[in-house]
Amino acid sequence: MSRRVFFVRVADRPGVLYKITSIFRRRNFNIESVAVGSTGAPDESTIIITLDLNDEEADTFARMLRRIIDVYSVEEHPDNGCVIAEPAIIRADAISDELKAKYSLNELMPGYYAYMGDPSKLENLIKELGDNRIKNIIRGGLTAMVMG
Amino acid sequence: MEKTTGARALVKALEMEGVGVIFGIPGGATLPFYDALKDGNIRHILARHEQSAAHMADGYARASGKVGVCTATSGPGATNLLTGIATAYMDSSPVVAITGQVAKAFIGKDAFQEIDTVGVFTPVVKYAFQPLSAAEIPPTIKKAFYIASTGRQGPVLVDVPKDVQTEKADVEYPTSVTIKGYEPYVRPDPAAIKEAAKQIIQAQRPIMLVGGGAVKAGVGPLVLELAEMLMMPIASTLMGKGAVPEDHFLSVGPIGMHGTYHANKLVTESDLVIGVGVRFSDRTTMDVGEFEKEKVIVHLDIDPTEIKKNVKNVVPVIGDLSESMKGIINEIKEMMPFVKDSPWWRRLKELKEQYDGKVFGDAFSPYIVKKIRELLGPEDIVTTEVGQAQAWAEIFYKALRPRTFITSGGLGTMGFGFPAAIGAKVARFSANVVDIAGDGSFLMTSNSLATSVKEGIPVIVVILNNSVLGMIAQWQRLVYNNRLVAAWLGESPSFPDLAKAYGAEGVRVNGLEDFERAFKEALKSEVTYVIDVPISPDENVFPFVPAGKGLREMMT
Ligand SMILES: Cc1ncc(C[n+]2csc(CCOP(=O)(O)OP(=O)(O)O)c2C)c(N)n1
Repeated sequence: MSRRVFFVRVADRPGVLYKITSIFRRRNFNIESVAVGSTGAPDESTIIITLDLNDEEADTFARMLRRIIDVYSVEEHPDNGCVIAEPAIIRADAISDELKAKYSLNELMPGYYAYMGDPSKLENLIKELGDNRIKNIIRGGLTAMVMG
Repeated sequence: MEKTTGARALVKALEMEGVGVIFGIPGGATLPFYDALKDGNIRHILARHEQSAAHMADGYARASGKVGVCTATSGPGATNLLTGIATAYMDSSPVVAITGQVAKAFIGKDAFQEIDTVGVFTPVVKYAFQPLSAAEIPPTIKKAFYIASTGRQGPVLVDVPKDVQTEKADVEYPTSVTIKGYEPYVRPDPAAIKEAAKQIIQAQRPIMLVGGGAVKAGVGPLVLELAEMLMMPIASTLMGKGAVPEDHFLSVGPIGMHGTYHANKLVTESDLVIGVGVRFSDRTTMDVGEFEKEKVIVHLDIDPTEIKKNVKNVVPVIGDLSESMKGIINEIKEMMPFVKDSPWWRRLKELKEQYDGKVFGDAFSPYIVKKIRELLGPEDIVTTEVGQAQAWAEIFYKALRPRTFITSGGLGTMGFGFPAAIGAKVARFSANVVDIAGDGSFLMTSNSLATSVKEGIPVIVVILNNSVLGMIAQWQRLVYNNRLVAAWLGESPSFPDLAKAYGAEGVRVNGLEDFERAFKEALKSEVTYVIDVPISPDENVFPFVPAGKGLREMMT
């Protein structure tokens, strides 16, 4: 098993995500994250899927993706070959300036902070704040780009 | 550009695709479409269950190579259609299914007869469309036929809301189509062809394995040419039957769970398999690890997602089968002289002489199947139901032409054979069409007797009537320690009486001679003819490779 990131270029059309998530359901793949992004190309989106799979499963997954006519291309990369970022919005009691600076937090509205960056750093932030200071958190899923 | 309703545009678009016949049952959500059909030039054949309508369209497609079209209303009509469409999907058959849908404003509100048809069908179609305006209908139909009939073929759904059918709009009928990301024609890579040829000439014991793709691509003559150059056996999958004439001296028939003894034996002994339009399904390879052990597998297919899916150790050639075959033949011609004699060829001859047509045990069914072959012409068509009757037909019916052996291989759908026979007869009216059936399967869609009689589409149904769900009984005897449960059907109904109740002909026969007499009558009949052949409930189909075992472990 290893963490992989799939970059799937798809038609920007209703129903496409359904076809892709159906694969997770059918094969019982546990996804870590799915993010839909745009690359600027018209009528096209890129879906970034992060999940743990062994080689055989990754092969099957790519094969099932490629069979979908709305899928234009599938690229698979190990996670260490990608730049990965995760956004989050955190509602918390006043966070110190020191923490804000350490995690580059952006205060959107009083008590609402935006994070964007390395997912493991986000984990650290959550630990540092602790459950009783976080009133609410929403993590946006991993977005990624291949290095080089 | 013309101003018209969505329904009329739909009919006209179908006519422009060359559709002459459509199988279906109307309903609330398709009434505008049916109203438009009344003014068009398309023959509508009324099914008695939507599953059968889909099988008819599928049988039509498989017999003719053209796209078959079926239609159903929303809700229950669509769900009834589903089994038939899934059957077409598993066997890559080009079918376009048109379903009615509730009006757009009612979608998602649990309206009467509303289901999420696109959602339900998506996993079993090559593509699903839902045009949301009348103007979208002609381009949608163009795309639907293009997708269904190109590349690796398959069914396409077009779900049309009722208000889209009644809406008036300015519509245009496109004459060409491109779909971004869909490039069905793939030219094989010359380097891949070279590598495949190199592997093939190095083999001592090569065998060809032809599948449904070879039937669809019509590459039988090229397969024969290559096989004759190297004097190698030609085996097939269940779906590949008829790709090459099974009476050819190099043909050994199908391999697999119910393959012929000599084909299974030869493929086991081979050191190289050339798969032509096959997907190496579990019913074909059986234990796949064992199958590919100590073998090179050259895999020719149009669908890149099939490569290394089931067998891993392959030399792939992806692309148009006919181009790939021609390329390989040309390479080999340059590299080596034709083989005239070899130990492998002598082995083939020896096994074939010993096992061709051999009946293991004291079963009677094989003789009926062989008799059908004897009495039919090469262009005549056989369809099958699913179960022992299908397996008997697989082993003992030699298909001599492509598209003359029509069976549900991938999904294994009981009830397929009879409606598929009706569809095949519509496609090729001059051919005799015979459904080789089990009693259990026939009962699943026997109400298609009404369609065949009322629409004047005579076919022959030969029921190998063993009073049991035979294949279930066989597994229970051989794999579940003789513990028979829920396999007994009993002698009900009387099939000749059932046939007559519909206005068809029916007769129960006694023995092979009686069967021959009845079959000759049936060939002359102008209505559908049901021949009820009593078979012992204890017959087992052999050879039989139990699931999980390798092909070498045949029970006989
Ligand atoms: C729709 C459907 N339901 C159930 C099965 C499982 N099944 C496979 S073979 C078989 C028995 C078929 O009996 P029959 O049609 O009488 O043919 P026989 O095996 O006796 O020749 C059954 C129930 C199936 N293949 N398809």
